[in-house]
Amino acid sequence: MESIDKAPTSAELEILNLLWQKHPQTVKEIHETLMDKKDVGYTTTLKIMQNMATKGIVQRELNGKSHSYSPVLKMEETRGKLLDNFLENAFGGSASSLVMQVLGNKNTSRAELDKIKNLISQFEKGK
Amino acid sequence: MNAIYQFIPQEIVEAIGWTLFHSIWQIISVAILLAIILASFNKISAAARYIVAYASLAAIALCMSITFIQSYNVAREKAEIRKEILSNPLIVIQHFKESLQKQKNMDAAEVKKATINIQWLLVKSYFQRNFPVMVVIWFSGLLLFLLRFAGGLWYVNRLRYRQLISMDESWSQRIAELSSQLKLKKKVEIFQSQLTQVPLTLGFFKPVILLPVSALTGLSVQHIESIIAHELAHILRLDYFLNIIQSVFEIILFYHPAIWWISSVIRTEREHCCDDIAVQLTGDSIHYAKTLALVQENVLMQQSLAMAFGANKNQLFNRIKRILNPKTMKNNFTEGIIASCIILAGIIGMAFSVIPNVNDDMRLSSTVKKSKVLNQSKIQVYTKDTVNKTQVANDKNNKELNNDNNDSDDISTLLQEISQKNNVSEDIQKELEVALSDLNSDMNVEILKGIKGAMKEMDLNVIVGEALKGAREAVKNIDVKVIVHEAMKDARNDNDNVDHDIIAEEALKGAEAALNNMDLNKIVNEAMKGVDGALKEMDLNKLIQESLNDDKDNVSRDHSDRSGNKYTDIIINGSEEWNKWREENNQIIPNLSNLKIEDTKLPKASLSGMLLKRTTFSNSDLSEASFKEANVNNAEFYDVILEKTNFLDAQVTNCKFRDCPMKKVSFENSNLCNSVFDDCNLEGSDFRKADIRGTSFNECNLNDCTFMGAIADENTRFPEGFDAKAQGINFQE
Repeated sequence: MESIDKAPTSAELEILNLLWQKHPQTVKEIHETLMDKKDVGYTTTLKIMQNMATKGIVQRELNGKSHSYSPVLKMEETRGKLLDNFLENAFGGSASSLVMQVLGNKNTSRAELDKIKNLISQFEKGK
Repeated sequence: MNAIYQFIPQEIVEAIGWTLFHSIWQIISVAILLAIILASFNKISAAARYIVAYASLAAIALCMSITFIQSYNVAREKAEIRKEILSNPLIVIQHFKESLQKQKNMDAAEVKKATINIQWLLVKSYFQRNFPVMVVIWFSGLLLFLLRFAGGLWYVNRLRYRQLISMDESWSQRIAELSSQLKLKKKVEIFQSQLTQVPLTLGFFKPVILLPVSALTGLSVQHIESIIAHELAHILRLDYFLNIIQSVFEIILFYHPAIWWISSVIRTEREHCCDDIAVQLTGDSIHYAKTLALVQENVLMQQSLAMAFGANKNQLFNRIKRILNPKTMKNNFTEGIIASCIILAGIIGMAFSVIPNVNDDMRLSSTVKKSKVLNQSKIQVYTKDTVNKTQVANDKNNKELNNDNNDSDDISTLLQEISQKNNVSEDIQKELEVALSDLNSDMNVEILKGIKGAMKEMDLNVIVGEALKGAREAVKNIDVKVIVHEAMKDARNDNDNVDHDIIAEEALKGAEAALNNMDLNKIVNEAMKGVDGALKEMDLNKLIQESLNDDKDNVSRDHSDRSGNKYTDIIINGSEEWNKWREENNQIIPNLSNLKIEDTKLPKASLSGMLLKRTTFSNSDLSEASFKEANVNNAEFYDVILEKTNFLDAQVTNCKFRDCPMKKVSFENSNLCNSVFDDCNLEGSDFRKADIRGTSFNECNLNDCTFMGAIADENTRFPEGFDAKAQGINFQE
């Protein structure tokens, strides 16, 4: 079982939450809202949002002179994925012993796999 | 920790405690048996091994259920007895006596058995005391594992529906084909899931096979078919459902390493079983082995490096080795069933080996019940007997003393009788009732404490100790009754004919009767069936005898306490210390009745106003002592120096004076009725206004005595040649 690609960090999620409420918004608008709650530098906000655009979490469009941002991820979907992430981290171990996996529920190391490959090739030669 | 009883009944806690306790060896035994079977039948098929391993779980469940039910029944019986005793502490009394009787009749074998039982009881009691802690710890662990289980199920449920990518219709057809080959009737769906890296199966009613997204790119159609075959085998074998049951075992028995071992055996064998089926279905073991290796390769590629250090248990290696080596692949269910039967039979045998212990407890409860009936009838007889006796004796004050052991009903009946017979005023009756009910409850509390402790501890020493404590306490309480009597007497303004001493005597009798019936120890004895045999029995008897004596002493001392026991320590140190003490404690009027005072130097001792009834003085010096206004009725003086002793205004009836130097003694205004003076030198003594009716002066020197205003009668005996009338003595007819 794996983690979700593009999973937003908590800072990114905060911005995403603002964008879900209202979009598109400029970095300046987002920064002002964030400033109400805590002291963040404008550069920080800008960097985070640029990062999010690179990851594809948000999309950027030129609106007149300034760039404005809209969310790409849908709210329900993201929250669901975050929950999946959480559940996987918290209960993945328990879940993996509740489902029937082809490989069983024990981890196999690279060394063991090499041994297995050896064994199989020996057998193929033997035949 | 005992707060747990507020949430879980004590019986349940006890039953859980015993179940957990016995599960330790039960599960170990099952695991050992399983290991032996798996090792000795190492050629049997995976399916058979799986059945045996799963059967061992069933065996554990059976064992533990039996233990739980038995323990619960015993605990409930005990709770019942506890309740019975709480409602009627007297049940206890008879049992101890009976068990003592039984001990005497026991033969050596029984004694030996009893000896073992007591040790077992001691061990049991130790664990039982710690059950609340044990159960709380177990319960906390259970909650944690349940939480983990619930979270796991939640996530599994999300896997079933979330982030799925449907697969080509051709796969559904392929699954249907494989299913029909396996004679699997359930409809199985297949999806790609973004949430998994390995192919897996889940769901019981609507099973799904989930493939990782990478599967379609990294694996060929043949590979995927092999995987599907393996997963269909799981579905066919109901593995998802059986695995959840197995998880429940893990949760409940999380504390037991053997359970985790059994569980891992089941998991391993389960995969082997599915491998066997899949290989059979696809017909190519090398290809199947390659598939597994490939899937593992994909996983390792996606995982971080850190994961490569995962536990190297060679599980997959062993699996593949097994797949490639067809020797171990025979499919023999009969063997498995035979092996399962062996394990089950062994387990059932073990489970029932617990039951004898349980039966011991059962026997205890039935004996208690039996003797309870017995005891009640005895109480009734006893009550009637007491009533009759007291009626004949017609001693209105002493009745209820004999009823020490009767319950409040009997007491109230008696109270009614008392009031009818004696027209006791309502106020006094009320007082008496209150006093008695207080006494009763005090006694109950103590006895119950004793019994409760006893039942909990099941420990000989504790029980004997507690019981004796209870008995002592009860005996002490008898004093309350004496006080009530005295209050009653005062209130009725009875004359001196009602002697305190009779009350005391009756109190003693009551106490003794109480003690005879108050041997709480019977519970243990019942439980122990005779404890440690003759030797211990003797000890126990001795112990009880001693404590009985002890309590008798207590009673007499306690009674004479109002009568003065604590003062003897002072008075034997001589008059100086005594007088000093009296000066310091002048508000106390000590009671020295019934005491023996020997070889004591008490010149000038102040005994004024004291109670000295039945006190015996011998070989002592009481010259110039003061008995002013003292009550020395029935006292005896042998070889006591009483020169210049002062008996002014004293009560000196029924006294004996023998061989006492009594020069210049003052008996002025004293009551000397029926006293006897033998060989006493009373020269120069003062008998003015003394009451000497019935008094005898045998061989006494009465020279220079004054008898002005003394009263004598025809029973007064004077020495020969003594002219009473000339001395101014008045004679009453």
